[in-house]
Amino acid sequence: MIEFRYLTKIYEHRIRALNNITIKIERGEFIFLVGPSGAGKTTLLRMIYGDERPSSGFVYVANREVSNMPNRNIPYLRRRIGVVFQDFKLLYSKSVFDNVAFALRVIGTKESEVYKRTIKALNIVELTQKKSCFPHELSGGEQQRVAIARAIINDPPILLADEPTGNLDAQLTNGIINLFLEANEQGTTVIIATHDLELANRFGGRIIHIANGELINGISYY
Amino acid sequence: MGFHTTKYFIKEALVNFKRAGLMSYASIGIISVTLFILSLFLLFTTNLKGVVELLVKRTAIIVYLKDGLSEAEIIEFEKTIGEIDQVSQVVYVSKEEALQKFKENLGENKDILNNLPANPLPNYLDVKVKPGDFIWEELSKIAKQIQESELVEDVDYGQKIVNLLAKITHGFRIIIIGIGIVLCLATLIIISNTIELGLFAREEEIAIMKLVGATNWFIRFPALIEGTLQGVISGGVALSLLWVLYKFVIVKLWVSDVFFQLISIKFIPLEFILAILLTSALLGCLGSFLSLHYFLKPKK
Repeated sequence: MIEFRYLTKIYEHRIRALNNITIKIERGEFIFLVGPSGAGKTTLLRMIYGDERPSSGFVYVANREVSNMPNRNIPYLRRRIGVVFQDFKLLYSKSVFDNVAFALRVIGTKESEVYKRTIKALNIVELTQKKSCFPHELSGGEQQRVAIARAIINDPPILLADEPTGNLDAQLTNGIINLFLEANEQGTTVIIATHDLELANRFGGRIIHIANGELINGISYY
Repeated sequence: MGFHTTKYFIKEALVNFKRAGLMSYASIGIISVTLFILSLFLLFTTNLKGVVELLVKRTAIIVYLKDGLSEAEIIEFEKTIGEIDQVSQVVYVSKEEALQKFKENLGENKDILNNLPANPLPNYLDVKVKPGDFIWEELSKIAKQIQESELVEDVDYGQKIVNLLAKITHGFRIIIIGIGIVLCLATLIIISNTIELGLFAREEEIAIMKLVGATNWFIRFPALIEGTLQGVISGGVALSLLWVLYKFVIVKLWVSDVFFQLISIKFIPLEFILAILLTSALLGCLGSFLSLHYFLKPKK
């Protein structure tokens, strides 16, 4: 489903964010990408949805090479990948409903369809009651769930989450991870980036360790 | 592109327009003034045409013919001149008629001509031309062309004044084009800046749009509509201002002045009105397109 081959990313001033990474992820896997801050987790995730291009090496998603995909095709790739961003990336001028519906509207979905699917997604994250609220009226955990609703609204085959439990307490963390597990049961490939090894151990699934832009345990094949 | 998408684009454009608030109005204000100055020049040009027409009506090329031409030769020559595009009328005046006219002009003193041994005046053709954009330049060309004929003794068309008028209109045309280009560029820069400021305010929203899979065109369209809207509104405001100025100031001043009453003052014709609106719409569209370039260029 997702494959990195000899992936290297060097930023300006010769900062090596990723070094010779080779990972293969199968369809339907549940992955924890574990490493300390600055290890390159976010950069790796961004490679998957084409927000970052490698300096060398290859990225394949669903058998298509993303590393040299023309820019005009990137939007269509992103519609097949749900992303929960570390900072949520919610629009604070829009209501919860409109934030979630945004992902459908900007790809030109009919308004009747938008309503149906937004309500369904809000149901899954149990936020239907707060659909008219604005993000600043919500708690951190609730904002996280809005971000998740937006990520799953297109029923994407791939779901990526960057530190989704960053500053949540244990109970909320369980609730959030369970949402990803549910999606995974439906066949979605899930990758969760976290600094928290204990969390990864608690929920099982495959763990990929990364530090200083390198894989800790060498090539990570299943 | 479906109906609901179009509806979404227009709605977004209007929302963004409103959200830009004072910026939108300020930009429309500045662009309106710019376009107003431009249309003021067009009004001037329009009415200058009236002056030109008046002058053309009083202009003629007098073609003095050689003596001893047969009637057939003269008729044939008259026909040849009548076929030149810009010529509206050719009138043949025989030496007898010329003398008669001369006498009429002399009035009471006409008797002094009685003692002439022979009629010293030549036969001539009175050639009138149609008014046109380049008539002064063309007039001397036509005169030269006529003069080349073997039948012609001399040609008179007020060379000095016509050449001066040709120079003035030519200079004026260059000034109008120059000012037009400068004002269009200014409009382009203002619109592109306003839209860009609006885009900066929505930078995060645009980033998120891209991250959730919006195509560049989906982001571009509302902004293009917004820019076009700003342009058209500015054009409309400029034209309204011009009309108010025309109706309530220029016309009143004109009527009170005896000299100007010779020329009827007109508002700019429909073609110019449409041209101004179209130009302002295009400038608005192009302006926002340019500002979008920064936001939509891919990351390295």
